[in-house]
Amino acid sequence: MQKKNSNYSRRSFLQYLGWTAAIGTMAGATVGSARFMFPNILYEPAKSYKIGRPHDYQEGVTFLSDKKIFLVHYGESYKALSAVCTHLGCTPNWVEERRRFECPCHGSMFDEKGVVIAGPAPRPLPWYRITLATSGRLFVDERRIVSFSEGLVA
Amino acid sequence: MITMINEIPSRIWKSIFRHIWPVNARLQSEVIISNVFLHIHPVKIYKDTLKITKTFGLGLISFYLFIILTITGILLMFYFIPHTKQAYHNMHDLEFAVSFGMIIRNMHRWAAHGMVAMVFLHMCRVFYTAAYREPREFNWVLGVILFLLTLLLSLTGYLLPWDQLAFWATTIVSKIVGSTLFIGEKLRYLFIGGTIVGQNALIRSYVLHVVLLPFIMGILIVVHFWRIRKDGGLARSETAMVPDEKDSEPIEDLKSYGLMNLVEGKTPQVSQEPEEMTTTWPHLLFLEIVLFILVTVVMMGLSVLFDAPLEEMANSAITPNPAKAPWYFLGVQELVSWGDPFWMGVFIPNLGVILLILIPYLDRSQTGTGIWLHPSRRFHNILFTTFAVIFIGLIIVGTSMRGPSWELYWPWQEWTTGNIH
Repeated sequence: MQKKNSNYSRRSFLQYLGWTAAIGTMAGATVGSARFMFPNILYEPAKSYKIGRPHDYQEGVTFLSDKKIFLVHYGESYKALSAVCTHLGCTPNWVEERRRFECPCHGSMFDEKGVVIAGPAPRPLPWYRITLATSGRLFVDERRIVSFSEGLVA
Repeated sequence: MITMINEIPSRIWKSIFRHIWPVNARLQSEVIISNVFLHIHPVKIYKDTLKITKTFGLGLISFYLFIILTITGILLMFYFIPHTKQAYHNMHDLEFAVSFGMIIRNMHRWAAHGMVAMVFLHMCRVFYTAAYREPREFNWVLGVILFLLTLLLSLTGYLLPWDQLAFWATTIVSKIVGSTLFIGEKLRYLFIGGTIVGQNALIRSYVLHVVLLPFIMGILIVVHFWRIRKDGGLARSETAMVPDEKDSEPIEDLKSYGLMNLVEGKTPQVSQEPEEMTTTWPHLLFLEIVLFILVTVVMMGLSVLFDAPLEEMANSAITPNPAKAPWYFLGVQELVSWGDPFWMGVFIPNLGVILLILIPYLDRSQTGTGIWLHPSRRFHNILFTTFAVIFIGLIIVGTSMRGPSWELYWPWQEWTTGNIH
């Protein structure tokens, strides 16, 4: 039997296997540690929820502090507007006299439709889908962004 | 019998220190070389290292503040629980229920502010004395990284008390992080451990602040000091490396004291004229101890006189008006108020850092190393000073000229709206 004459010996092959295994293990551990850092389960409030009944809310703009939304109710329409400034996340305040939302952090201002009229905010405040649950309470779904004209008529 | 007992104190001393108190030149060498804490120093130093006006000891002061921060920080850890329902109350405990609690907390806060300022001034000093030139370029880079770590430690630190400032600063910073191109959302998720600022964000800031960042900073400080030694101590014009294009002439014999001839390369130079040098023990060490005492006394004085601020408990519904970051970040906050968070809050600051890091590699002049404000560096000094003034100017605008809704006020004007006075 002829032994193949090769530059690549058994020793080199085993060394290659060994280093690959060692480095692969360390790389795998690193990737695992990085994946570890991203939680899979979040104990955070739900993104869709029920609030009060329509007649619980007065006409005008009502700030719901625990949900960080404004409930905007005129006549028979009900709309839900995000209360998180699109610039860097502060809570704008509704100023009745000037009929606009003013953010204290960097002076962004939004009109009654949530459109940016001043300041560094890059996008308008989003409106969330609001529907009437069978229980009679209003149901807000922050995962669905709607246009200003789509409100709930109740 | 009596002799045996009389010998015990000196035997104990010798077993710890292995030599007697330095009373001659040989012992002065031995104490430096054989002591684990002291042997970062050279046995002999140039006399002008001792001149206060050479560096004003700014680097040392920064280091001492780091030590004070570590000690006060560890003490605070015995009372601080990083839980959203506990953290704020723990701050009140420290003020009212723990003996000297407020003083320790104050020391921690003022040392933090002091360290940011001193590190910045140290950087300015190194620039103005051109002490970043070859072979010290990489030490400058390490210094810039240490500066960033100092700012990160400050940031993760003031997020912990879970007051209004902590909560809203976390919100804003996480949004700036989130505006990074391509990976912004993932980075934000990583930073606050979720999608909203809450318990996960608090514990992550805590671990960063108390373990990871101090650990990295400690290692880099050691490397920073080691490189000072290897580069031959403080930069001096007499031993400045003038690069030889042909590189045919070997560098003059940079002998150290002893075995270093075995190692090729540039080593600290023991001057041919012994009059220029003096011993570390006791001269340099004495100055170092005096400076440490001075820094500690000043910090204690400030801590007794001025209380660290604490706003109201974190309230996710109400954003304080105005919501201002601590002074060293107000420059960035001012910048960010001008427009898109990515360009203003990520791109420009990172560009600034990259330019800073490149300084030693862009500087092509060769004169003025180790000398304050050398005339040949007029252009460099003016350029650097311009950027420093702009940076400080932004901070001043953010501190004293911005009121509620981030509107412009003159410093003396009263704020008419808002919910903060």
